[in-house]
Amino acid sequence: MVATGSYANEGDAMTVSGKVLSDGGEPLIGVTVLEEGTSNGTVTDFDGAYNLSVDDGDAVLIFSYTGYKTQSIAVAGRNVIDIALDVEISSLEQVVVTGYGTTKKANLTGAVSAISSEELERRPIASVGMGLQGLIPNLNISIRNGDPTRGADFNIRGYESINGGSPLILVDGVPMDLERINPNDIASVNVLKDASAAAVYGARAAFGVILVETKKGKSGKININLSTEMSAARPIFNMDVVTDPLDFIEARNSANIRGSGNPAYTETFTDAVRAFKNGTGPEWDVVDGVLQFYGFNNYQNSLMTDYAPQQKYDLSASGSTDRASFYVSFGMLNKDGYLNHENNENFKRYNGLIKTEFKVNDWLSLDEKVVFNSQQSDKPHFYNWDVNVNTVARVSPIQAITFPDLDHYLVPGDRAEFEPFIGKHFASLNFFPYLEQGGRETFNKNDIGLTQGITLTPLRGLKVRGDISYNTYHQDYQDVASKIEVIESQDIGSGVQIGNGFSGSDFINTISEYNQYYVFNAYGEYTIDQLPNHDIKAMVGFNQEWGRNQFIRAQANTLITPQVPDLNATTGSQQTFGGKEHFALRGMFYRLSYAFKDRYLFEANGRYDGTSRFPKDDRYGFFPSFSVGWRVSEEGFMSGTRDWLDALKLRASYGTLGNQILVSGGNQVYYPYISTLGIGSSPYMFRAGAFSPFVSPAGLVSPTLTWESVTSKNFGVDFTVLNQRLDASFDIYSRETKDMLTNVELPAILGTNAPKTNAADLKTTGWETAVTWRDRIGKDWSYRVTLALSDWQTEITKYDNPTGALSEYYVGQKIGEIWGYETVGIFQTQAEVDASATQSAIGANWRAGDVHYADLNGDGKITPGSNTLTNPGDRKIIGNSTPRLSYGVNLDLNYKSFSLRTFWQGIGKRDYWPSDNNWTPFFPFNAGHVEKYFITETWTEENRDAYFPAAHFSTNTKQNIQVQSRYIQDASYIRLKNVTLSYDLPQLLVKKIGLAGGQIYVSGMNLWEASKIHDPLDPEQLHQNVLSGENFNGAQEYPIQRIYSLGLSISF
Amino acid sequence: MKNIFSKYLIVFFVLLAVSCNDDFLERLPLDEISSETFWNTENDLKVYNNTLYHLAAVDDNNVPIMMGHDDGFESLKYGIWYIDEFSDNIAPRHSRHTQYQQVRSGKHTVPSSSAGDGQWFGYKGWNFVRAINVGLDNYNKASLDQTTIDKYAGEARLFRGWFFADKVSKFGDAPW
Repeated sequence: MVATGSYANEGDAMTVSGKVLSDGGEPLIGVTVLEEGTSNGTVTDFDGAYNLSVDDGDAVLIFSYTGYKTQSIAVAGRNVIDIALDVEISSLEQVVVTGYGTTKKANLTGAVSAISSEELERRPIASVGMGLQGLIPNLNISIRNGDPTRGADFNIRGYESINGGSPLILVDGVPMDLERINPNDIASVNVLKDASAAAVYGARAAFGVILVETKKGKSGKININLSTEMSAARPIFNMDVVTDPLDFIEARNSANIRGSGNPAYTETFTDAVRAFKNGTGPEWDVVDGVLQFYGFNNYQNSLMTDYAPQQKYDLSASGSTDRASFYVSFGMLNKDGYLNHENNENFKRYNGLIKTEFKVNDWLSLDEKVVFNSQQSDKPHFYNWDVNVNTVARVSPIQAITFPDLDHYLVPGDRAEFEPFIGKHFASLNFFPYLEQGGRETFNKNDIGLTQGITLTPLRGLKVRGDISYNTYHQDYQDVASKIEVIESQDIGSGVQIGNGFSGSDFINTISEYNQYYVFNAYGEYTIDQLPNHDIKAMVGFNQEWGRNQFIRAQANTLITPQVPDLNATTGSQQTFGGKEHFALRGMFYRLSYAFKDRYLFEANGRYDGTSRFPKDDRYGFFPSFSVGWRVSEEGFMSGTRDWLDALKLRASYGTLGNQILVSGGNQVYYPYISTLGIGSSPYMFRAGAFSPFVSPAGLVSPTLTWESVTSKNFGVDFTVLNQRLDASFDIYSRETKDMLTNVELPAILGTNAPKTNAADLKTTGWETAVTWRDRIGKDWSYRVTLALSDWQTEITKYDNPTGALSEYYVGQKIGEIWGYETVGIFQTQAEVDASATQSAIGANWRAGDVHYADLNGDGKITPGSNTLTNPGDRKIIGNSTPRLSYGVNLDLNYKSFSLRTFWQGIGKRDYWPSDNNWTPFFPFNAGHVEKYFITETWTEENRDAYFPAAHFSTNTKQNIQVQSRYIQDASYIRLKNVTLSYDLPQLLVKKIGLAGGQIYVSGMNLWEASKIHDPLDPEQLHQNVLSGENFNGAQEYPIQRIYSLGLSISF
Repeated sequence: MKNIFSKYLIVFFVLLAVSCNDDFLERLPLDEISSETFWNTENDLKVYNNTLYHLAAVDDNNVPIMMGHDDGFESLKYGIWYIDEFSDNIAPRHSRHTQYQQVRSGKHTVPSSSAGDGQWFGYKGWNFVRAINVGLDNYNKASLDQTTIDKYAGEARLFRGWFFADKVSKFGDAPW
């Protein structure tokens, strides 16, 4: 800042004028100049000049301009004040949180990425995971579906271990479920990717660390911010089912004729449907006492909502004086589900955060934090796959849904007898009765966290900090499967049969879960910065954590009435379950950083870590790491480049971390070294009806059981050029996970399962880059383009699989490989079938219209071989489901008070084999419905170039949909994740109505996408995911939504 | 001076919280029985031996010594009635009996895999032997008089002898 001027007498009204320039000396147009504490203000003209009358010479002027630092200047009696505004903090001075301390980005030697709160603001995201997706290169976030209760899966730098694994997520230093906190409370998210950055977290940080810091009180006066956002969410539902019942009948008939020789529907029925369609016949009829529906039900569209509301409210207050600061926030989110029904799903989140800091004296300060997070969910009980959202793939357009309102039923005049049933639902494949009358699955999850911290600065350069946090988590879960009533059959000849469908055995299941966790940290940091050429920082600390989880589950059958869904109001058999576990961690850690002449950077990190999950002698491990950096641009020989090269740094790091978390079957194993005795009760031992308890022998645990170890190597380049317009970093890395636990085979005579041993290795290699370009065009425009791009691949490097069985891992296997047949095409004639290799091993009755597989091994037979590497039959690797080239792109544009932000996210390369399970939507005739593409893309003699083989019921025979190259899907995509157009209300206007600032915005999420994947699949909702380990049946689930929002934010 | 004193006092308290006991990381399961917490009373031995009766009674697929017929559909598969199919006394044609026919006609190949499924005709049930051996290794941990312990050890030995007698009678020999 430069301020010059001439002086007048203080105390009188006076005029101040001057020029506002950029730091490059160009005049800035439209800079707001305000007298502090008043609504008196102006803006600069085309020459950057302003002229403002102030009350007296003591006034303070505030200069603010988008993209520049706001400055306050005391007039101090001057008439002329010229000022140069500095651009917002440059990326080099940015401070990065590295765990037990911070580092200037310029001095960073490990692989760390950071984003600030701005990236999460003004977006209609329901959770933090949704907001972070794609922002940070190689922070891979997968979200299985649109359900806000289903948390995102977080991953750093690719596949972790064959036993799973995940990054350590800390919110203000305490492990917490990121999905439960309020995105608006986040100040920054820092991702520690390599061993060097994560080493201070030792045995939990093998797969990276996500550090989330919440907001604090900022200096200045008390600032109150109120924001509200109203959204409408529309499910992305790509099914395009036939709307003409005759098309449906014809399509199903052709499939049935191919299978069994007979049409699925009789001629009479078809004629009646045609007659109703042409307006010459009734919609309903009763034939031999059976109700016949000839109409069209439009089921899919009546189940999915057009728009579901979503609201967000946030209130925060913050402020600070020289002695104390505070930040208080309350937030609320309310989101309705995807169902077009008054009993729609609903999700609510409430968040409260209170943070205070007191500077007791010049060497002691105290800080406190209280956080409360609550999630509430209410959704219909899951009775069966046949009667939930997947009915959209199962209900045919000609299926009767509700009991009709007819003039008469069996005989004229019997309407009164059937009147009570009108509008009631028919039983099979119908979500509606379960939604209308069925029980609800509800939960209420509450977190309470308390932190007390103390910071001492007893000596110059020394900082000692201690903090203790205590968190409790409680979940109240209740699942009520109450009885519903449906009409079991369309046969009403002997009266209407009322039944309970899938709700025959009604029950209530309740779970009460209570978890406690505490974290204690103490560390001291000593900085020596007075020495010329040497900067030394040393940190040493101690961390101790303890957790205890417990749950009680009770289930009782037979509700007295669905109106009172409580255990107390049941009369049937009851069961109770429970469980407890506890675990502890303790470690000492250090960080030593040394910089010579600000050019040569060296850092050593490490932790001596102990865990309760291993036996006494194996409990502790030492995990050191090292990193070096060279700020090339600071060298003397680079002096010639200063005018365009702002900074250039090379980094390298190496380190090994342990992984204390062992996962088995998706669950953490808390006592892997202790084998426990099974218990049971034997029903048939000495007399019928009596049960005798027994205890069975404990299984085996390998005496050599030890940690998985993860070695990571990283090499990186950071550079900033062209007067800080372009800022980029590139990292290349490898991460080897060694000694993964695997099953080994021992002779059966052992009498029990062989203990798992540390016998497998894998290696993940990849790279990532982050590029930011920001600039201004002329006076009013500024823009920003950022790119986050990453890629990785994982290969198994050690695994005991002597037979090379493809059902297991094998050495050289790339994770995500898809083995399948190569498709030649579709047989066009019987002659082609006869001339080709026989496919009898995978099906029978091959005809024109069936799939022609390639005889890769030339043995004249299409077979899966022995399913081994040496004999895979006619199969080969036809794709890989690893998400490659993940990217996120921000394109932001600012014009005066308007700002347009767009965020695009996608995957550059990924193969996907869609679910071929029965009742899943993709493969034609694999479920009960018929989509338009079933008809247009199915092979017939007239449609020989069709994508899919001749119509056949894939529920009966999978011979045409064996895993093969023809139907493997390209699941790469680009999706417009966010668009926000916001307008800052003019300063002069907001001052006039007594506000400090105001902003109005419209925003959209998931507005557009492009993908080569075949409808109705969504490239983000895949049923298998190598990173999250997800592998479900592939049925339709809660869809992802396009969300349209309007938001208003005011501060005063 | 007072200031300095309170500084050190606070540092001292921070360090105090750090110093700790060695048992902090010793966490045994809270909701399951482990060997460390079992084998104390006579009841422990009794419910442990119940597992042997349980296996013998209901798991006659693996432990066919009692012909308990209580394991549903599978229970007859390795029973003495089926084993008669090795002879020509009965010769059912149902596919479920193919394995016996193959032995009879000399076509049966001994499975190379030692896994459970590879073994037909009841050459399995080693979990039963292991349960007995684990028991015999641990009974003496209980602080009971030897007569009581011997009673349970005796039951276990009877079962082990019975099991091996069955194996030897069917297969001629068994690994010991």
